[in-house]
Amino acid sequence: MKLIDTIRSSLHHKVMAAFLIVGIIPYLLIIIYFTYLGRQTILKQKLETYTLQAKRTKSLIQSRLFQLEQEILFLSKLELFDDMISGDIDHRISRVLEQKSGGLEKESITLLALSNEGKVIASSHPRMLEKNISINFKTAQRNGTSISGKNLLFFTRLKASFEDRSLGFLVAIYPLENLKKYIVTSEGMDFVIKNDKNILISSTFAKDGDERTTVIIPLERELKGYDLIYSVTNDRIFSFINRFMFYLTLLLLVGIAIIVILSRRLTKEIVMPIMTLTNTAKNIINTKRYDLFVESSSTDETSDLARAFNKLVETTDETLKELDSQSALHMRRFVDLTDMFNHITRVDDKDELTNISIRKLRHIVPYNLSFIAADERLPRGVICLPIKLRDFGTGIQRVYGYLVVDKKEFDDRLESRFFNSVVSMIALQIERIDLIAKIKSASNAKTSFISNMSHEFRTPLNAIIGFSQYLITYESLSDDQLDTVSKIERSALHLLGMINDILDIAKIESGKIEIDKSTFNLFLLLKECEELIAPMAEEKNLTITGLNEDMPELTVYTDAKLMKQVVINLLSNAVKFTQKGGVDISVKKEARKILITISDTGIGIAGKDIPKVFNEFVQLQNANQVKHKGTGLGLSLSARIIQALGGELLLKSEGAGLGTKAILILRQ
Amino acid sequence: MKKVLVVDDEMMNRDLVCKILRKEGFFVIEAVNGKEALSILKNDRVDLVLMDLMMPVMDGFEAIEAIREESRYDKLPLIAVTALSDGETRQKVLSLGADGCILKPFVLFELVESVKRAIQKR
Repeated sequence: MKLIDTIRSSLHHKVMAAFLIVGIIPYLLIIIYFTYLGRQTILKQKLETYTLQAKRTKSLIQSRLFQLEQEILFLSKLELFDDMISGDIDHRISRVLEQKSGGLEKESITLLALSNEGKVIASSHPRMLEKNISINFKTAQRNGTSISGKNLLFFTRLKASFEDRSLGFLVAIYPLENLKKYIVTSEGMDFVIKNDKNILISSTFAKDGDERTTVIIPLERELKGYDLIYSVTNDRIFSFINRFMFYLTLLLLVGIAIIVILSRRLTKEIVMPIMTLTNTAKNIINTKRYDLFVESSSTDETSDLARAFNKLVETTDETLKELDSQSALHMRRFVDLTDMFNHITRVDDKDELTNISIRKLRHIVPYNLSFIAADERLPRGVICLPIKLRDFGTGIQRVYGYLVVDKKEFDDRLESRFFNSVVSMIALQIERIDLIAKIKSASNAKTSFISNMSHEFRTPLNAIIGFSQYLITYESLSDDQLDTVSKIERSALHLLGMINDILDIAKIESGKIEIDKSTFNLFLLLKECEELIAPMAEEKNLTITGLNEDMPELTVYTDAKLMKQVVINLLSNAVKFTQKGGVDISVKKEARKILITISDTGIGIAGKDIPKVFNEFVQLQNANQVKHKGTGLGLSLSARIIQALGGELLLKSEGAGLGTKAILILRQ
Repeated sequence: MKKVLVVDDEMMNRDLVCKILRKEGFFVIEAVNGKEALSILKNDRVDLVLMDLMMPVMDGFEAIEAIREESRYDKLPLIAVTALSDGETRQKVLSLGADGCILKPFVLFELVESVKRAIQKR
């Protein structure tokens, strides 16, 4: 698996593997074929060949011997031998035999004429004269053959021509060695003619230990009982194929070497440019430098690839540069546009607005721009974009003026959208300027209306309060009259309080509240407020706790008058909304802030209603609640005053009927 | 008996102030605007002027300014009475030379005390 992974991971290995597969598999098939199938076939063929050769040899030998036999028989029939009985003929016969044996193809055949006693009478070979040849006469009674040593003896009984009388024997001594030339052999083939005891002829045998292939053919007639044996060592048989295999293996090794070298070279040619390409690409990715190039020295497809890659990089580089410069241009335009909008939104004069818009736009677009008012004549042959304003009250649109672009028509939708957006922006800012002016005048009108109204209210109130007090002070009224007049006075004073609250709220809203900050002792202020409220609490039998005579000094820096107004308001609210129990004032100093908590045991507020009580003119009412006096302006006003002083007013209640906590937070 | 000039265009208010001051034992003369007040001052000796500010023909500011321009009225106590509750008005009136400023609606004792204190001072 690891090998496969290695091959997969590298082109070089892949190419090499492909080459090896294509180049080596045929070799391997050949080797396998010759190793297993080829050898058997060869062996079989050889065996057939050998058998054929052996058979042919056999027939050659047999026919030769038969021929010899016939020749000798013929000789024996010659009248010549009639003379053998006379003793002086020996030399003559010998000479004849000599001549005859010479005629027997010079096979060094020795011819002998034997007497009946076995004495050599005549011989083709002089040495053989006077010798006795022992013949087994049992077999010699008739014509025949006999093997003696390495020779084959042919006998024929000699008879006298005219009478049936044995003269002796004609014997031919045939050296079996002669048969060798009839034995057909192939190279490396050994042969032997032998029986169990006797080896007649043989070639030199190789060592016994070798594995051999042997063909045995039994011989007949003269050589009956003997076998012709062919024998070849298997090494010999397979020597060719072994040599072939050796060269094949050698070729295989050389092939592998060539493949390895070739694939290395080839993959180097293919892979190296790819590697260079890859490295360059990686380099470009890492450095973001698009001026890197791949160099290629080859002229094949890889150089095309390199050229294409370089072209790609070059094009990318150009595109990027173009994009960069374009985006820089767009960015500058965008910044200019933003700058223009930024300027526009800060302008609160309409004429200045149109001037600035045109001046700024000239930086962004290359056209001549101008502004003309709605009642002027429109120029021809240029683009006039109307600046349309919408009246917020009626919704009716009107044209304020025209932005004139010195151009016949816009190049494309984008440009027209751009200018329309600019015009909308200008229109929006004009509307904004108008709106702000409207709001300002409306707010001023409201404030002056409220302060005028309050002034107008004060005058008759002054009379009511004043005359009530006049009666109480200077006239001796009956108790009933005094009570009635006092009620008139109290109601008038209540009305006055409301008017004052409204006036205060109007002042805060219009930012006209006067804040006069100073440093003072908060405890003294709280004490003063407590003293003011004390009669109210006593009336309802409520206690006010939390403030002692020997409080340490706690200096704060804020507007004392407004502060007092808020504390009195909160205390009077606490007393107003409490029927039983009391009011507690506590002060806590924290880092950079002071918390004044005014808690009561009164009717409380449901959590969801807390935000509502800060609204003007809201006084919560529920089934268990008696209607309370007051405008409902108090809390709202107090919260606004504290905000104006940079503090905060929080209301907390565990719920309706569980008391209320007002927490005043003063930041120092 | 000290003589007090009460200047106010509102009949009700003028009447109230006059009634109170008479009860406190002052001799009271009435005027309906600044112009009238100035002509009264020319012909009559007055110990104190109570001047409303918002009036037709000649308002309190102009009248106070005119009175203080003439040196013979240097010692004349001048108290402004106004429904304009803002501090700005109070500052303006005092800078024009008024000795005090009473905010309407006033508390009876406050008016009486202010008038008595101003006359004693002179």
